[in-house]
Amino acid sequence: MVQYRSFSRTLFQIFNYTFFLVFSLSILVPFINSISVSLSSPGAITSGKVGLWPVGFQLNAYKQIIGNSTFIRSFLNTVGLTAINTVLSVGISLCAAYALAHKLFVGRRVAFTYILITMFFSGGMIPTYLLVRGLGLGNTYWALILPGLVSPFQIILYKNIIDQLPKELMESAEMDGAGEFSLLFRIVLPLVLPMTMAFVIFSAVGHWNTWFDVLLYIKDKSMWTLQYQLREILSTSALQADPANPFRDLAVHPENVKMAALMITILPIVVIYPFVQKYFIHGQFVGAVKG
Amino acid sequence: MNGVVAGVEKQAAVKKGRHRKFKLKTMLSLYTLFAPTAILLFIFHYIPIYGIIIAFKKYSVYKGIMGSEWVGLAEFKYFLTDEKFWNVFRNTLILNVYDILFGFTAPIVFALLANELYSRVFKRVMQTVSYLPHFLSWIVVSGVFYSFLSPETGLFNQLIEWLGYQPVYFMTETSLFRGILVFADIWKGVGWSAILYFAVIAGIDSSLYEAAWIDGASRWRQAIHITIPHMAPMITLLFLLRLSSIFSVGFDRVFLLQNPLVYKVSDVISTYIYRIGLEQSQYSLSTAIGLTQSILGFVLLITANRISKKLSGMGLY
Repeated sequence: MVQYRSFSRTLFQIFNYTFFLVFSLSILVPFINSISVSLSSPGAITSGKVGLWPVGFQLNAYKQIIGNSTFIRSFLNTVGLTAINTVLSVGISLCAAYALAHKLFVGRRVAFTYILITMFFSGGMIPTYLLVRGLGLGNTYWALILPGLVSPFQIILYKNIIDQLPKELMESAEMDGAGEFSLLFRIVLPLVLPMTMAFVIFSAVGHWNTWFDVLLYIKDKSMWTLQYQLREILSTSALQADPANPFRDLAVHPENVKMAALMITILPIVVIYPFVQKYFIHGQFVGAVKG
Repeated sequence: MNGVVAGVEKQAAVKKGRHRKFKLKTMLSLYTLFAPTAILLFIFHYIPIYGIIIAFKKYSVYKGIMGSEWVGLAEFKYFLTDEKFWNVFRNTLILNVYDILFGFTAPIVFALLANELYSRVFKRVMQTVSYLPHFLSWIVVSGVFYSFLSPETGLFNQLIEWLGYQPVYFMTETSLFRGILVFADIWKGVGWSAILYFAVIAGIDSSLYEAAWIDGASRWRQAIHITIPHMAPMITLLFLLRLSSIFSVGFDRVFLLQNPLVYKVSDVISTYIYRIGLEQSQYSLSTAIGLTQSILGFVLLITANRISKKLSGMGLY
């Protein structure tokens, strides 16, 4: 790109770099501060001394959380549900899209419309809630898996890409006697792998962050997800009002526990983030509106 | 000769038969592959669509959807004359206007400014940081905001006090709360939303800039006359899409950031539907409001898509 040198240009550049530096810091500083709070002593937090560095370093909050069986259980629930939901939802999307893209699938148009309609019309919160409760799925893991398993958006994107695959590949495999299932898993799946990666990551992040379904359907603490557990911990009133609360220890400040729980919740995302960033971006593009 | 013809015909017939059999098998496989989607959509999408009729009934848990009595538009009349509903409706519109004025323009300005960063390393690090909050839940973001802005222990208020001012009760101050909702949304999503604009800018032919430079156009003029006109179709499309959701606000953001002290300015239609529907169990009323909201949104979406196609040739479908 052509470079310019003039006074106003330099001034603008100084402003511009400062602006983005401040912006990046506005994202990083609150998180760094949260880490510091989670590692600081209660006294230092109360007197407001904690900045970007822990004051009176201690791991008590983390020890309390990791020693708390409800929290560990919610962590394991989230890991399990994220894995199951992601594999099933991406798998179902791929299967449906393969069928929809197949020329021999009688009723393709009807099936496609059937999916499309659900993108524009939905029953809304209450009818869905009443249905899930009515089916007896309330307070079961099924309520956190089944209702959201089909992603019409993924199916349509998958179908578009399968439509564009070279037909010769599949024809020659068919000649060799491959059935539809082996065609799908041996020929099509490897070809749509980049998009599958993007879907898997998006889906996994989405399920990792699930909490609303838990609010609606789950009463039993042992079935809570991590985000929902975090929400409970973050509401101070619950922490202080409940005398049976295991976090009511004087060795930690409520803020200690809150920020420690928050850090444990985001840790997996922050750790994998640098490695999968390219898929995030890829996913944003496949999801982008097309002309 | 006849024998040869007969043989060929026989072969063809056998082939045809096999082909038909093969087709049937294929069809069965294809229906099997599609079945989970069809069944799940039927149960969890189509049955709830049927459930919307409770908006026109006086739904009773004991009588069920079929057994409950029809009340026509009574629920709609009820909320349309309800002062509380109109307050929530007003809040939704005001928050949306703010979101469009600031939240919608932020990624455009962000992309334009980031385009002027020459250091590729700086640009890449900045972008990586800016995408991150998009992947964190609103629960996490609300936790960070509450902690950072806390009047007693929050770092931001420590800074304010250090500068010699009184601490500010950010999260409970009604006059500040809408600003915080808008700011939080920008903070969480501006980098991510800017990606589409980055892509548009990256696709602009660089010879246009070179020609402009030879003609003596400054970077400012190049932005006005080259970059922005190229971004215009995307801006139009996204703007129209954004307008179509003016009667709805994302549930999570408001629900998780608000607290009883700021309900008056923060409560929006989606949080109101939740409160009267699930906390007060007024299922029919809640469904009626939700239905009205979706119909308005759908009409706006169709209109927006039509206008967009006319103006920029781009549309959703």
